[in-house]
Amino acid sequence: MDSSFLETRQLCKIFAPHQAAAVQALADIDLAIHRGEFAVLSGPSGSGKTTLLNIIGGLDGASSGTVILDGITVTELAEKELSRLRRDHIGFVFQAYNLIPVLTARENIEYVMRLQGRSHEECRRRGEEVAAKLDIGALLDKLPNQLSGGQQQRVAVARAVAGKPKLILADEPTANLDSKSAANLMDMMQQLNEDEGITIVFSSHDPQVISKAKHSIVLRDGKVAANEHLA
Amino acid sequence: MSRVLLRIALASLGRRRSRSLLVVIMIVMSLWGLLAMEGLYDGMTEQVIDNAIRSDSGDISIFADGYRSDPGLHRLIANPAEIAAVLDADRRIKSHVQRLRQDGLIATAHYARNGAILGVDLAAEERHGQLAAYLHKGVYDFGEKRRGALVGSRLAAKMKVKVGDKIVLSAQNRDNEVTALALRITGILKTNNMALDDSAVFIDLAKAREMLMVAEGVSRISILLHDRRQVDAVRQVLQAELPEREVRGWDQLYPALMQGREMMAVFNLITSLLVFCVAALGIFGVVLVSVLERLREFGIMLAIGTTFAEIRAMVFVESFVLGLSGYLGGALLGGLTLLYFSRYGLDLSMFSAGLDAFGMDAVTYALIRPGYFLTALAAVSGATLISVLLPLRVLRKARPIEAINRI
Amino acid sequence: MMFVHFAVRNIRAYRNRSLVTILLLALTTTMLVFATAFMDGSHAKMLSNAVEIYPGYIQITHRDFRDKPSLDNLIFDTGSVRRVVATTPGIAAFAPRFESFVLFAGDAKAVGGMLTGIEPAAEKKLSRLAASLTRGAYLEEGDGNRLYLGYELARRLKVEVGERLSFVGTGVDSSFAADTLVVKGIFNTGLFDFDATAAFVDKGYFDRIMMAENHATHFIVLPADPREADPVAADLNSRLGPDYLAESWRTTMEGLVQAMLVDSIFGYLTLAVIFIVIFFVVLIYTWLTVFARMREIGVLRAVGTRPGQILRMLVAESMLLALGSVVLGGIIGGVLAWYFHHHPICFSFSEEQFKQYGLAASSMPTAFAPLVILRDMAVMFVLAVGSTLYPIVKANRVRPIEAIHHV
Repeated sequence: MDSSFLETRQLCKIFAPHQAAAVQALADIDLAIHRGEFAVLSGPSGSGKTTLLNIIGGLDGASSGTVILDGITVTELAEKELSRLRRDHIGFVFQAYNLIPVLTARENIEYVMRLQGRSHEECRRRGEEVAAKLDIGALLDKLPNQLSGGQQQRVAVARAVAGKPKLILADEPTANLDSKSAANLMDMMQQLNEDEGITIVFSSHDPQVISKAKHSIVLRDGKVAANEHLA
Repeated sequence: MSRVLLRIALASLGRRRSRSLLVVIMIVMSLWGLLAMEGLYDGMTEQVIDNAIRSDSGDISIFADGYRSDPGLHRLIANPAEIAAVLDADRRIKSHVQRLRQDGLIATAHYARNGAILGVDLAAEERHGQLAAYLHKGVYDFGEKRRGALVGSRLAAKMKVKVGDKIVLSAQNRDNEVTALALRITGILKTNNMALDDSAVFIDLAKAREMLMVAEGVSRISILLHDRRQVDAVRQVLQAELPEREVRGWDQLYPALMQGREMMAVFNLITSLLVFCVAALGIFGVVLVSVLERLREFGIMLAIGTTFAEIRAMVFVESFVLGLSGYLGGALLGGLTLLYFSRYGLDLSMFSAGLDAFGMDAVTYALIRPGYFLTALAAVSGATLISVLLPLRVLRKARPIEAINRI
Repeated sequence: MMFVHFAVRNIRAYRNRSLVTILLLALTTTMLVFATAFMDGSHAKMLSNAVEIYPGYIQITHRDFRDKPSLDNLIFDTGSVRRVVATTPGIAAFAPRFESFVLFAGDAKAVGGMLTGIEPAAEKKLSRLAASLTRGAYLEEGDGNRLYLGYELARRLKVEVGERLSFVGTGVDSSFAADTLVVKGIFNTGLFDFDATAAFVDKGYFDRIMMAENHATHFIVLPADPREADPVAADLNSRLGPDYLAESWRTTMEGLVQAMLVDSIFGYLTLAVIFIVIFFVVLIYTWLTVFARMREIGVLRAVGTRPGQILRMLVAESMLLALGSVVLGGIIGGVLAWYFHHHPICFSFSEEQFKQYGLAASSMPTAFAPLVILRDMAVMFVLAVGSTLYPIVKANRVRPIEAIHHV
């Protein structure tokens, strides 16, 4: 195993740094996540989970410190390079409403691959392959507003996976789902993690979901409160 | 731009169908109105100019030196044949005619009025400016003995004369003696060139020579070109070749018409600017709202690897699809309207007395210039471009990625 | 009342939309008010100029003179007409004129023109002849053969004040009439054609030379209130009996009156094109704000507000906006109209054109008519509120549950 697949060093984030109301969202986060891991970030609301995921994915900048992903220093990249990094190497899943409303499920899944410039046939084949794994093969021609929350979230996961990223970041993917759909989604993500060897980092505060992870990182007030590998 | 982005752009327009349609209709209506207005107004202006050129000034006129400030029989072009040879050699010149003119008095048994006696060759005038097309009543002919006269419509109206009536022309001849000539009106001309309609009596050129005792020489040579845009170039060449003559373009002879044309151009420009500024405001509002309400959507697209440039391109495509659909609709309707009015004309004869006062024809034929459509295209594109820039700035500043975590 | 309160709150909450709407509508109202004031004012000025310089507000002629202006159809007994006019109420001044076309001859040249016998003292009140003096002096009674002529006619004849010229004409008895005249004064009315043909002598002299004692071609009548020209003319007609015809300027100058109408029509057509676009933009902005508030409307419906009440609230809002804009635009437009009424707009650049159309004016005042301004404001108010109705009605048709979930 490669120990330096995803690393954060002395990562700090301060919101509104020059104002009286400055908030230290992350303080000196040092983390290492190995290739192929299924890791969870947990902790109460406001503990910094979302901020950390956003900085790792290059959606937000760090105040200081570095993020290194597979040898690339994410925190040093320009906006355009970040876009390319996200397109080619990172898949995102958000809490809710994260499909493009005017595209069908199939088009949503194929979206990233299309940006990557893959051929029509490849997009279609890969899209259907992923959709089958997530059990949404029958829903491909529906628009997002014709799908249930759980179905939408599976489409979102399919979209994140389809482009064959090295890393999937999922911010509270189950927060808007009922417990059955949540468990279902987590099982599928776990399966993908094993089948495709994609590293997955997700955040949650649902103990049932957290228990599925093999590496648990607990944040509290922007600091790492616990960091343990589970069996 | 990838096809999937194009697909999103189009689908987003479709998602707010009524709104998109409103913007398109707005552009269609404004363009339609502007094009129709422009073509009709230009048609009117050019018609007035064309009337003056065909009936009187030609594209270019040649006079003897000093004739224009002091017209009279003592300042004639003595050697018209030589000048005709020069004109025939220039291939840009379509035709030219010679006229002899003397101001005098036109009288009936009970009534008299001053007017311009014009000696012309009717056949040559017809080949030249299709003068016969202006015949209002009677025939385009001076009769067998050439004792006929064609009278301007407003002069005829003022003198209450009609076809068949007898008139007496009196004027000074070359020896400054007053001579008279009795003629019968064979036709009435309505050129809508006010100067002419008000005062002109056309008589046979040979008869005029006889009456005025002018054996040779003419007052004016009027020239028509194949292409009116070459007036200045041809005029300069002719002036250089004929240094002893006054060579004048129609715009110098009818400065008021030139001024009218320029004013119309300025007027059209101001109107168009105003309309497109307002239309840009309309497009702007819609683009701004459609960008703001999709902040989250853009945020997600950015998060999963779309670049800002791609989003920007998408917003551009959306706006330009609106703008260009409006343009196509407006250009089509405007073009058809102009086509109709260029063929059948806009009949305003119910206001004919008023139009006469402006020297306008009762039926206006619209002009269709490719330039209208090109300018309109540029204007619509410009309006669209301007109306997209600010929303895009707003979009960038709003940091769409942050919107992902807002609900 | 609650709705008005609500509406005011909303207008303030959606400040951008309110601002754009108010600005556009105020601009539109200003444009309409000012354009109307300008067109009405300039037309009135052109007409009053044209009427007052020479033709006069009311003309009395022999009943057949207008159709056949011959020596058979003169007013042969000016005394009887004079008595009738003098006893008619509402008349400020009147005088007879005798117009005759003659050939003037200077040393070098002969030019046709109109020689008119006038009563100098009365004419001073009836026309602007005396006021248009540029050189020499105006006529007086008993001036004999002294002539008052237009500057362009003088230029053509090459005569100056104090110099002599002769004329040849026809007397009332169809006899040959000729005499020598001495230039007393030269005038410039600004009406080019008029200045190029008209010349005046004292009527006493004219009558002797032309054998026109107690005769006239027409009478000019100035009503005490020029706006009453039509009823005064009608009154005169009934008093004068069938032998005479009194006509107001609306009939004698029909062409010019219609020309002004045509000009107004084209003016309003152009405004219409601009206005259509503006109202589309107002419609679009109303659409955007109403739909942006869809959820709010859904919630209001969900808590039991009836559609009619929401309709009233939204209409109250657009009426308040429209009212504010129209009042603002009306005030700005009114102030402009008032200012340019007292400080006429100068059009020195288009003098040529005015000259061509015989409009002796290059500075135009706007009309300041509060009632017309109020009318324009009312029209704009109705149009403005009208253009917001469609989105309001459309939004109100959405079911509450859809409204709440509207994205």
